[in-house]
Amino acid sequence: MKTSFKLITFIFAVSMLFLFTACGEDANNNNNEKDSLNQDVTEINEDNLITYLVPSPKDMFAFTKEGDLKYSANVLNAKDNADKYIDTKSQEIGFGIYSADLAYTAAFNQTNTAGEYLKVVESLSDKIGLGSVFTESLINRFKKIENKDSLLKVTNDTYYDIVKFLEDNDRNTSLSLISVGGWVESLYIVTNLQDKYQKDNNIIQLIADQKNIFENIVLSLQQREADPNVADLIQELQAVKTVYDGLEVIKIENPNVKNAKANQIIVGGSTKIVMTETQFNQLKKAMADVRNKLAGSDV
Amino acid sequence: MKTKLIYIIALFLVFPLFSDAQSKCSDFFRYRRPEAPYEYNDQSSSAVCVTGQTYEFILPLTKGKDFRLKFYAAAVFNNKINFKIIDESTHETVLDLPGESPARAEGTCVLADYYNEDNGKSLHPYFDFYPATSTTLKIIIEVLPVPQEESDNPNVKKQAKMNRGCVTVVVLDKPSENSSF
Repeated sequence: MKTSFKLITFIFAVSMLFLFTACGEDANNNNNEKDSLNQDVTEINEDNLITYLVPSPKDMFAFTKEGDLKYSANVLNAKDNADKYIDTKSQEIGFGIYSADLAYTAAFNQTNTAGEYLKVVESLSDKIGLGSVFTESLINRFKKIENKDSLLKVTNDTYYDIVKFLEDNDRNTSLSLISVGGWVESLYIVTNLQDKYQKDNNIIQLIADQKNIFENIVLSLQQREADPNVADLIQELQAVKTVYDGLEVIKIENPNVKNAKANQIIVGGSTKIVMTETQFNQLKKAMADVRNKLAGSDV
Repeated sequence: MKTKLIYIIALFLVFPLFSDAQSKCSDFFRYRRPEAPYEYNDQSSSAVCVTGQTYEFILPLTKGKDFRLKFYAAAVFNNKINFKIIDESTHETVLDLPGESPARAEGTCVLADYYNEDNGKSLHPYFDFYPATSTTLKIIIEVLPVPQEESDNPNVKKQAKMNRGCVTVVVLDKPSENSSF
C-alpha cells in the first residue's frame, strides 16, 4: 500500500510539473505571440525542412537485369570482410554493402548465394541493433522461396522493414550510412559488369543519371556532417564527386515521350546528362577505390 | 479493487504525457505499400511537420520507370496544406494544388478522397509521372498556419496555435511500357 501511495504521489508530481510547464507556455503565448512563435520554430531542426531521398539498391539492379549484363560473383564483397567491421560506422556501411549484394544476387536469381549473403546481413544486423527485423518468420519465408519473384519480394520487404525500423527510431544517420554503403556497392557492381564504355548505351546512361542521386546523397550527408563519421565519409566520396560534378548536362530537343500516357505528367526531357569515355573510366576507378576502402577493414 | 483503482488513476494522470503521440510517423507506414501494378519505392518518406512551416522533399526519378505519388497528412492539419512540385531540369511547376478543394474532384486536390464515377468508389488522389529523361522533382509542402483566434479583450493579444503531425510522401513505380531498359 505504501508503495502504491508513493507511485501515485510520484506520477501526480510529474503530471503537475508537465501541466504547469504547458500552462506556462500558454501564458507566454498570451503575452507575446511573436516570442511564442519563435520558441516553437527553434524546436525545429532546420535541416529537417529538406529531405533528400535516395533509392534502394534494388532500383539499380531492376534495370541491369533486363539488359545485357551477365551475373558475376567476383564483384561481391567477400563474406569474411564482415568480421573486420568493428566500429558502428563500418558495420552500418558494411550492412548497406551486403544489402546491395543481397539485392544483386536476388535480381539475378542466385538463390544459394543470396541465402549466404542473407546470413551475413542478419549477423551484421544484430551488431547494429536491427536484429529484431530478422524475425523467425522472415527467415522461414526465405527458406521457402521457390522462384525469382518471391526471392526479390523477400529481399525487398526486408530492406523496407529496416528503413521503417530506422525511421521509427529516429536513426537517420544510420539510415544515411546504410544508404551510402548500398549505393556505393550497387554502382561498383554495375560499373564493373559494364566493362567498356559504349556511346548511346542504356547502362552507361543509367550510370550517368546517378549524378542526380549522388547529389542527393552528398546533400543528405552534409546535413549530418557534424558527426565525424559522416564528415569522414564525405571526404571518402570526394573523388566520385569530382567526376560527377564534371558531367555535362546538355539541352535536348524533341524528347521521346511517345510512351507517356494521357494521365501522366511528363517531366524531364529537356536535358540529358552526358558521360564521356574518359569520365566513365575515371568514375569506374573512383568507385573501385571508395568501395574497396569502405568494404575492407580500412574504414 | 483498490489496486485496480490505483492503476486507473495512474493511467489517467500519465495520459497527458503521451498526447503528442501523433508526432511519430509509424501510424503512416500502413500507407506505404505496393499497389499493383505499381511496386513500393523505398524513396517514400515521412516527416514530422508543424503548422506555418514549409518542407521540401528532393526526389530523383530515373528514366525507364513510371512513377506514382500519393500524399497523406495527419488529421490535425485538417488538409490545410499546399503542395507544389517543380521539375528541377526544366524549373517548371508541374503540380500546384491544395490539400482539399471545394469540388473534391479528381485532379483538384491532393489529400481529400474523391468519388470515382467509373468504379463507384471513393479514391485517394494520386499523380502519375513519366520521366522522359532522368530528372529530379522538388516537392514543396507548405503546412498552412492555423487561423489566429480573435479576442474581444484588448489586453489579450492574438494567439497563434501550433499543430504538429506527420506528412507522408508515398512513391510507387513500375517499369515503363516499351521501355528501352
